[in-house]
Amino acid sequence: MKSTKSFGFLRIGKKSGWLCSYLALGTLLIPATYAQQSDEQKGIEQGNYNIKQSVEFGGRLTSISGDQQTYDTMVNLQGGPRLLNFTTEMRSLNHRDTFFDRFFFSNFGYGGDPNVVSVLRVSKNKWYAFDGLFRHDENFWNYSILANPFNPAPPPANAPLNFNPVVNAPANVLNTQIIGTSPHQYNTRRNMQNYGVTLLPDAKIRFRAGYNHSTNVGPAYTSIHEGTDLFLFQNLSSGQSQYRFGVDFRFLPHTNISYDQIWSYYKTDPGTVDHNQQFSVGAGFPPVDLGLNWNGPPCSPAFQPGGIASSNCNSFYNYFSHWRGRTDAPTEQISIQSHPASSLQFTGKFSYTGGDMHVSDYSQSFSGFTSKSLLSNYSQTGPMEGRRVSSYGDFGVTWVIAHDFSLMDEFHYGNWREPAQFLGANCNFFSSNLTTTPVFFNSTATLPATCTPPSNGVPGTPVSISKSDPDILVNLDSNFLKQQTISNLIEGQVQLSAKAGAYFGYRYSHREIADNFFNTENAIYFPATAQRGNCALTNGVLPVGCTQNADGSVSFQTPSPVFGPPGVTDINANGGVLGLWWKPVQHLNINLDADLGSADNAFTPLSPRNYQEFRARVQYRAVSWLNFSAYFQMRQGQNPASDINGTQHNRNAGFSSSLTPSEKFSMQLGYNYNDIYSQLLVCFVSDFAQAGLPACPGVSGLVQQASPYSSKVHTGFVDFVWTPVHQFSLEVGANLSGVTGSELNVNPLSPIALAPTGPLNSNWYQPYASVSYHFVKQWTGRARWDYYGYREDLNNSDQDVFAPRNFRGNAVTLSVRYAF
Amino acid sequence: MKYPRELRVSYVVALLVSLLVIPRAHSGDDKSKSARETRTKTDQTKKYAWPSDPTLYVGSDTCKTCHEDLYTHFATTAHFATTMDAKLDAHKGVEWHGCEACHGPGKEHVDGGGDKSKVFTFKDATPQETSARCLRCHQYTEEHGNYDRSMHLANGVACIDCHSPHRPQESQYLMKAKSPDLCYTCHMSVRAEFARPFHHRVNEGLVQCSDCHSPHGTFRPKQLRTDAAGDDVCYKCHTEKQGPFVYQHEAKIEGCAACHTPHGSTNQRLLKQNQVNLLCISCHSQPATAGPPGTPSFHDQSTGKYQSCTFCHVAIHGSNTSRVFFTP
Repeated sequence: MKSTKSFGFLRIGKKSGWLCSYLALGTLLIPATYAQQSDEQKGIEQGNYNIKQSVEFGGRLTSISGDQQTYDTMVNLQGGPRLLNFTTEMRSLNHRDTFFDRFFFSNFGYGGDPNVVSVLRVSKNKWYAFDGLFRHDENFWNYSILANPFNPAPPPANAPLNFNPVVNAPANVLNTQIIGTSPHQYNTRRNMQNYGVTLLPDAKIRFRAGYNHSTNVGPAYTSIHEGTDLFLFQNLSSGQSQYRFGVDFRFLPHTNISYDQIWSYYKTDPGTVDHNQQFSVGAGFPPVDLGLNWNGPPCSPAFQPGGIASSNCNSFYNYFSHWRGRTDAPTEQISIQSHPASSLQFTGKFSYTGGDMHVSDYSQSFSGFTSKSLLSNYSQTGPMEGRRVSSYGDFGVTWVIAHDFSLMDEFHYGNWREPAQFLGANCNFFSSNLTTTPVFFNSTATLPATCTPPSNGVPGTPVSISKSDPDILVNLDSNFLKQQTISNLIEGQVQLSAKAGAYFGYRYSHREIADNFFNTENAIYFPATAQRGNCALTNGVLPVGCTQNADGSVSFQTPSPVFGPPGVTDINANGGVLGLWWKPVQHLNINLDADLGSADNAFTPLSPRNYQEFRARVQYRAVSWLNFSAYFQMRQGQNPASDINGTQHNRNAGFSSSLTPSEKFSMQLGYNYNDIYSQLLVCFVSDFAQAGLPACPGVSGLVQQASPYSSKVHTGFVDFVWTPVHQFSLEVGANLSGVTGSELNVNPLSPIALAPTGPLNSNWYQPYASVSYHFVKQWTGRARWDYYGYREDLNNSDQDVFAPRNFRGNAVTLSVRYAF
Repeated sequence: MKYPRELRVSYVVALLVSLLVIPRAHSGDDKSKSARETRTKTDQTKKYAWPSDPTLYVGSDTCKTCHEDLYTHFATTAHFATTMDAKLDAHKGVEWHGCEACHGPGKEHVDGGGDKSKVFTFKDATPQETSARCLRCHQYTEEHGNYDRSMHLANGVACIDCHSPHRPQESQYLMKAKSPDLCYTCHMSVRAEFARPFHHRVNEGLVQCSDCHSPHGTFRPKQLRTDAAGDDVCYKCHTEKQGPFVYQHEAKIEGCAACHTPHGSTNQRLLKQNQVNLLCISCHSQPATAGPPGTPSFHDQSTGKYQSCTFCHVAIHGSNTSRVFFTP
């Protein structure tokens, strides 16, 4: 009796089962065939050009659920019509056309996508080559692990109806700890343009010119701490233009000497203003901004019955700041590449930059009330100037000592220094509370600066206290920072065989970092509390630098100002590099690399003094249609200083594979595991710190604890492409990543006492699918679905005091492509 | 219904056979190993030899007679310009023309009836040898001048591992594949980094790997580029973070990567840690005399206010007006 088995609807015999398995295997083993070039890839010939062109236009539909803000921060794909791609390529058939031999113009993203790119390349053999690149980036940001840490648990007593701690937050913020807007949200647009042309590219003398221009503009929110913490609106505006001219001289045999003159000009014109005045302080007074500090409230009580803000609250009537920043930096650069002998090759580059920074028209002002100092009105002006002087020299030489051994040396020298200073003039006015007009003092003493009293000010004796700043202050801060670096790497490269090679080397580096600071003040303190601040009485006597004036004020001038002792950090590092590459059989590559180093110092606790890095990679192409890769990579570092005790590692392991057994089917898949860990001793203060922690050495009032950070990320990707017939293609795939981790919790009693916060415990899913149908010659219809899923609260609990930042987004893109 | 035992075994056998058979398909490559090594050693002395005797060269049109398919592709690429002389050319002479500019003089190869041993073949050469052919023309620029000392070449990556002079998939720069897919074929861990929620827009096409790294090598670690003034490449785009500032955040001296992971991160703003205060107090935990000053004793980390350092210390990359970075 013939035995049969069922596979659902298919019944096959025992022998047939064996046959099917081998047929299936055989299908996979069919060598890939090369498809005939389609008509659209060949292009058309018109005039003296071969022209290829394609345009893909369509539209996108989106459906987002969950946190729209986080979706916009991470993805920001919205619905609407789109020019998905437009590419034109022209190639001269005889390479002798008048204006150009090659023309390439490619674009994508137009119509509303957050990333838009255009590339233009035009060239004519022997005469010129032009490259142009335009990039546009919509950078929306409304994500913060502690979006607004100031939200209160319940609204304050007597809070007005519809009390809302943050402007623009949704109405359901009431009585919740959730807000909808990050105090540092921004929505900026960055445009980057890069153009370059080379004239006579093959000639003995060739000329280069380039122009780069980038701008970053857009609205943003920010904050400032002044008594309370204000929620400010900021109009970001910055841009850089760069011009480059260069000449290459190739008159010497096998040598190119280049000179480049570069000029960079940066400018920024930001403005910041407070638009959050939403609380009444009483009839006859403008509304005030009580800020965002609601879990350490601006005052207590913040509101009087009737929802009126208390007049002794830290609050602002208005705030404004603006300045113009300009930095221009010319750079001169000389470089050389030479191959004077068959066994000797060297490269060198030296550049010098002398840049200047100026900030003009700086103005910062506020009116309101700061309870700590009774500050009622404040303005600050003054210029800032700085320099950035840098010089870099690099030299590398390769000496082919034998046919299978080369010696290589690379030397680097870098020196930059940045002196900068700010000469600020501060004018302060005081009053006893928010609703009392500030008082200005008509002094007969010599004033360090001229201050205009506030429009509502009245003459008299100011209400200042011991914590009040000077009434008028001219302060000069001058800082200096520099770094000098020298490093050298000497390396031998050995050709073990035609299939294997190795390298080994020694690296030495020396860094010297130095900083210095200079300060001088010229101030005056008016009555009623003239003897305060730098002029507070010491044993009943005014300190040195203070002078009692006849009108009751006290003047102050920093006595004998000098530069402080420089802070110098020297770091000497030694290291070794070692590597091996091996191709035992054709299409099998094995790479092993090691980089080890040790330094006698570190500039920051985060910087390791000792480091070890290992990399191993295997790539194998079993047959022309099957590739497999695997790798392991480990970087680790230690800072064994007793007050740091730092250790860190970053370990990566994974594999990837691609199969293209035929033109009908291809598949890619891969997996990566990334283990990130760091730990070092930190000092902090916390009312709820773990009991029994030791005191922080050298920093009074703090405790010391090891701060571990651990993050384990799993990432996988898969992609299938199936083309059963020439006209139809289906693609299905996904990019998936998930992370789990832990970190030091400095507040064990926080609402998130048990769960790691935010992105440290999250998943990020991006499956997709697309179909394309070549329905008529040169026309293809496409439909693509993309899913974006982000989830943080894996434990179904709030990751922090804010709304879960989870979202699910579906984007469907329908398009038609025409190509020839 | 349960699979029959024999069928399960057949699948396993088929899999094992394929794993054993497929690698052996290339075992024939080893047969000519010694001959190839001998040929390579013999031709080592010719590695940099480009005789200028025009009688040794046959011209690209002659190559076309046998290699028409290759020549047709070659004629569509920028390399075709090598077949044309111009008065001001830095390289003149038949040894710089067409096919023979890379493969060496072809007369012996033609006279030998297509003897492969008489002409330079990239397939059998070492990465250093193949790259030397390309660098003969291309090394005299700042972009390519460091390839001899690059990590790529030190690891056996030759020019033709990324570029294909005859069959490029991308017409621009004769690339074998588009960036970043080409880079991902080796740098697979980097692909995983760019797949994280916060990342530089490489996969979106806005940023290229070559914007920050030079695949041909530089004088900096990780083959990083620099901006025009020789500073960190990050400032090419993030110019507003560079300064100079009156009040510096000196941690920047260690580079942007001291606090950020530039490829991609699960943390906001590409930070190395998800909570900014834990990152800040990693450095600000010491007496001022020993380094960056510790946090004041009133910065109670149990309160949300002091856990969000950058809420007050807004201008964390540097300020012109505030010693404590309260204002830009």
